[in-house]
Amino acid sequence: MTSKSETGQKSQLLNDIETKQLTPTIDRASVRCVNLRDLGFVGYVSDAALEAIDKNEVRASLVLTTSTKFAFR
Amino acid sequence: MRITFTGFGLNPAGAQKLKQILAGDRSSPCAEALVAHATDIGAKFAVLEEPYTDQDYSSDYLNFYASAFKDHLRYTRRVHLFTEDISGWFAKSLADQASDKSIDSSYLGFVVVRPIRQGPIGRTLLRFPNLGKGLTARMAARAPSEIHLYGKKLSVTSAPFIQQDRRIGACAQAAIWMAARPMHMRHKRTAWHSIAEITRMATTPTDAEVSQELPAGSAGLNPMHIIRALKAMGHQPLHHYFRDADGKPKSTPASEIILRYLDSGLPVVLGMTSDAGDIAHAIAAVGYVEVAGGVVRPGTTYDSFVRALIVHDDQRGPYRLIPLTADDIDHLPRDRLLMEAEKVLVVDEIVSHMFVPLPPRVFLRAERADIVAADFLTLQAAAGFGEKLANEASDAAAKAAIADFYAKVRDEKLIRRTYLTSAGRYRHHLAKSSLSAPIKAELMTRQLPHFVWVTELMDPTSAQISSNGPRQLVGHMVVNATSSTDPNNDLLMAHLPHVLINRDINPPADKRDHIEFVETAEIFPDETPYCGRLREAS
Repeated sequence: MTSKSETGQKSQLLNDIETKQLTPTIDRASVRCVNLRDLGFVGYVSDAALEAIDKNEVRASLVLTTSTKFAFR
Repeated sequence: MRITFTGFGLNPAGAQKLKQILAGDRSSPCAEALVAHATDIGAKFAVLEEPYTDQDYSSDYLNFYASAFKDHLRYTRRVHLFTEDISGWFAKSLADQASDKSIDSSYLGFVVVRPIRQGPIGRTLLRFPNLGKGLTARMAARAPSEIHLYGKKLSVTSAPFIQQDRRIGACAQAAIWMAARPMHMRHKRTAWHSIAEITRMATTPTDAEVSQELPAGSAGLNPMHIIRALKAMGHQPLHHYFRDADGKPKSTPASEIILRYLDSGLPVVLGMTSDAGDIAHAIAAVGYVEVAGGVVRPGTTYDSFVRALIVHDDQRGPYRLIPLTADDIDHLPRDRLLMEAEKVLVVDEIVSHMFVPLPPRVFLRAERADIVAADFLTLQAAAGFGEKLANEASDAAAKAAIADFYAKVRDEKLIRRTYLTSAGRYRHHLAKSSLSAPIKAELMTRQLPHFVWVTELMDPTSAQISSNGPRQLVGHMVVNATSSTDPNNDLLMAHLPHVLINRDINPPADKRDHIEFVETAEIFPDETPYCGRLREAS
């Protein structure tokens, strides 16, 4: 019980500490904000790009089948 | 035993003496290239320190030479190089020597000379070259180090070089050492490893191939061995093979892929193989050579500004240049070109493998980050999104800038420069940049993962704004480098002219069933130009 009471006092003390907001404030008065969906755009990666990514990773795996062909001297 | 210091000027006779110290009476292209590099960076005076206890050679000695029947010396010699005669400094009192700063700026670095005939050039720390002729040598393997000469503290920033000794290690181990050592010296993320330790890691567990030679691994390593060594050293090895199943070079040039890692400050191990099978050699790429002006060849990636890679070849010497294409050869200093007989070796023809010692937390390849960034812009431009965004802008200049940007995307008139950095370094660069304060503040307060890929966007005509300086940007994009679950979650932010796009890949919990991410665009009426990240030059 005693420890509970001490914890409570500590919380009270912490609440009394004066804090300052340090996050920079940004003047948004002249900034226009839009949701891209409202403009008809959703940035999903295209099929062509997905194919390029896959191709790239397949090329990397080719190494496994060719690795013992080489010995760097 | 006392330490002795012997000084000599590097006139032609002195240069010959230096070569003799490095190679004895043997013909050594490596020693010749090293002496030529020393004189090229301005070495006028050498100080030979002997004996010198070198940690790397001590490890070699412990692991092999101490048990040889032939006596090998326990100690090395070390040659320090200076841009001027420092004999006068040695004549000062010991207290004055230690505090005298007059020789600091003339120090160029040192070469450790091992007492082994087949590979005498040990740990070598020498400054990067100054190439002149509108060429900038950018340092990827930038390792600062402190050296003590007779009680005096000196410093040099270099890419460490070493020659193979053909007993404990071959070219592959030397290349791994040359790529990994600067990472250890600069970031302290991985431990110190000698060539002997690299060989042990590469050959554990052993296999039929390494067991063909004695000692195991002394006659070369294959890609699997190199990967094993890098992994055991604490890196996350990324291996790339630049050939198709028939052994022919792929359509994406090797140089484009390699450069992104070098431009991230990551030295890489390169494997070179020829069609004829007469070359199977590993080297370490430690930097690249950029032109001061606009692009030198058509393209949309940063290698369009680059003429060559700077490589350490344990057989051909430090700071050699390997041109990206055959067209670059005539624009580079001929005496630094990597040659095989009379033929100049070219990256896109000869480099077949790449091994990158990536930090363990990076799970996204540079190629994927670049594809995702390019795809985002292409999709937006194709959907007429530029016009829609321009319509949202209230300011006429902003409308024009946005429309102009998307026209360049459509016409493929933008260069992408993709490199890895930490969120902390990204914010540090951004904070120092001249980008408008509101946009900067908006970018800097966004939560980011520890590592990000940044894709800078610039015009092909964008020249260095000062000697060896950065280039002006039209925008940049930030891609998450720490996860690779879904390409749709890779892109995090994009700054385009007057527009800041933020993709929140962790939308509010109640919306996650419906939408994968929330994308917003903020349009700013005012904007100031800013420059890209500067990779240090020699």
